Amino acid sequence: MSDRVVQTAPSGAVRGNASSAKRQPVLEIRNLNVDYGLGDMAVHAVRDVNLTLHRGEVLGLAGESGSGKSTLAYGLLRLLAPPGVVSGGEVIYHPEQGEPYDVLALSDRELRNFRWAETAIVFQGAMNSLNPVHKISTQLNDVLAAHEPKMSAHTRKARCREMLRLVGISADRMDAYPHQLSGGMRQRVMIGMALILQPQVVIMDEPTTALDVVMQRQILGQLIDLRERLGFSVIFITHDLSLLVEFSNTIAIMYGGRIVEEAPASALYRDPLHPYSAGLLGSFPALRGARRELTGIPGSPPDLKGMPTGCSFHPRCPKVFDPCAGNIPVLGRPDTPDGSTRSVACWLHPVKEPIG
Amino acid sequence: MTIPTSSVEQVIPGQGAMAQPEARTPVKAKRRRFRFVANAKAATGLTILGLYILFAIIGPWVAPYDPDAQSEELTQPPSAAHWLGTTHLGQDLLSQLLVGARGVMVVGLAAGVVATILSVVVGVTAGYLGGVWDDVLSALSNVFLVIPALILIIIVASTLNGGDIVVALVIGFTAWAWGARVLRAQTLSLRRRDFVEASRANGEKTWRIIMFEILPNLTAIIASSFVGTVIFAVTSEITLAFIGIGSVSTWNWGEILFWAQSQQALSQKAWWWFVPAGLAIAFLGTALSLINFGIDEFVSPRLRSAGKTKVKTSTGHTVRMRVGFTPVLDNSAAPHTHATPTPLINPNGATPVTRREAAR
Repeated sequence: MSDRVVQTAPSGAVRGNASSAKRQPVLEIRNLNVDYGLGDMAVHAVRDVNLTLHRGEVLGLAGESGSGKSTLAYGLLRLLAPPGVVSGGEVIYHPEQGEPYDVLALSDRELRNFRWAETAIVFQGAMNSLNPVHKISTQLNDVLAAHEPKMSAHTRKARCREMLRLVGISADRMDAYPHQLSGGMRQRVMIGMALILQPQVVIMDEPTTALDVVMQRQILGQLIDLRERLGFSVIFITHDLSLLVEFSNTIAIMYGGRIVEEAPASALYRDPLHPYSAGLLGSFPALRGARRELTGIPGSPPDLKGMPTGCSFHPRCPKVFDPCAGNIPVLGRPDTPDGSTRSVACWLHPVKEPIG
Repeated sequence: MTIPTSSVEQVIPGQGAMAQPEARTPVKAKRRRFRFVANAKAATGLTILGLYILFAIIGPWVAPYDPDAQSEELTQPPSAAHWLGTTHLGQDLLSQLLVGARGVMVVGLAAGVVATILSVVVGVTAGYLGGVWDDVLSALSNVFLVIPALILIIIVASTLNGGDIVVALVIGFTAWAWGARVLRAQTLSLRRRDFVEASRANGEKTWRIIMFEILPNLTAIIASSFVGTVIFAVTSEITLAFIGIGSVSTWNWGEILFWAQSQQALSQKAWWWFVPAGLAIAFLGTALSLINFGIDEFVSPRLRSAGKTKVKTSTGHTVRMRVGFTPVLDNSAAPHTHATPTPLINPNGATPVTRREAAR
């Protein structure tokens, strides 16, 4: 099973490119803005983010700590704790059947129905999200009982059993308590729980951060497997760009609350256009190829309260030039040969056609 | 191992951590001196308590009649002459209420102070020092816990037959045990925390650890036990007066209720006799509880609400911020920042575009 990651990931990425003509969007984020606080005190954590998740694809979201990755994911589901507010934008969701609708315009009741059934989330450190005094079967059952009350108890039980098998836990572990499972198994239970209502979109917020690499590989392999079988789309948030390169179709790089580059994984890895993406890629070693010296990115992430003017990366950018300090670059199609499949927000690559 | 290449100094020589924008002259952080009062709960509580204290001081002077003076108007409902009506002896109830405020406040606050000091001393000492101290002091507070306080107060108060201060001291000396137990438990959990261990390892003196590391963490509990004791003391004193123990010479609200009950005010439908006194007690309790909530939020940064919590959403409703339903202030897809496809610099200007050579 461990080989599967390596095998499926590149092919998946290639297929994503080949079939790009008939890619269907499932989640479209348009100029999403998220603030912490109100009025003058507000900190703009996510600014004018435009992003499209296509059906059946994995969208990787990478960036430094504090770049707004998690805020973006929680903001689009309206899961932020006070004082977080969504200060603008639209999140258009395309259900399998029926008209697309704006998630941000849903009433509280509609939102409750929407969550989990249409879009599920696996939280950071999810393995501590299980209640230690209930069996995992009870906790899986709870979801079904809440969202599909008409389902019979027998069917529910069969469904839980099937879900556990799908994530690679034998069904006789149904009646185990969370402390009787290992960290990786708990994480897989959480992933199974997120998938149990067969949502179209699964948001994973650093689901493997607390696990060792062996377990990471196992879980990601399983995730890819499940995605092919069940056909959901994934937004995968992580610091670990090398991981994304391996198994996502598209990678979006965030910096200072904005998307600075979005490209097919292979294109981003081979030829990053934004200096920040290049810096991120230059800070971990490649598996193959000539040995190269690792370069970090000098400086530290910007303070969201006092953002630099213009491009927020310009004080750290090795290729900074005239327009950078005064003008915010727009995210759009660059003038490179593969420009129609990717977008970047950088003055080095003048944009013909802004997206969003 | 050294990581020379990623060091800032080497990548951009001489520029150090230039990534941060020029440290803006910090907008002088307004010292929020009246932050406690700015809290709506605390402000309301303090205002009501202030009124009570004011009337406790000036009550006897502003009272329109002598509370003992009898008149011809027996058991009259509220009127212009007697705002809160009269008793069966024609005494003015408003005057009785105003004159009675002082006794209630003195007993309540004095008993609260005595009990709180005792509970802090006993509780924190037992919790922090442990060992024999803990055994002895815990046993002592357990003994005081099982003594039926009210009966003890009745016995002592009727024997001593003193004034308000005696009653206050008796209540104070019997009501500290519950607070001491809570403080001891909290101190026990605090003394094993890392920051306390660290200060012990640094060689801080025991008194300093208690005063500067432990006590600030106990403020909320101390405040709540103070407020709780004050409420208990007030009700105890009123109960004493109601059942006819305590000084007969001074008025307090329990005395009013005692007469109202013995003259069957309820069956006479003389509501003005007992409702104002009852409300006065209830509002005092409310004020103290509000102050307690205010203190909780003030001393615990985690409970502190971040200013405004009600926002107007895009649908026009005003909602309270809560987790899980993040308010949407604006639902339009219009961008908020001015990102442009072309830079706003003069292409004919003298500044040539200088791209630094990319060092791949």
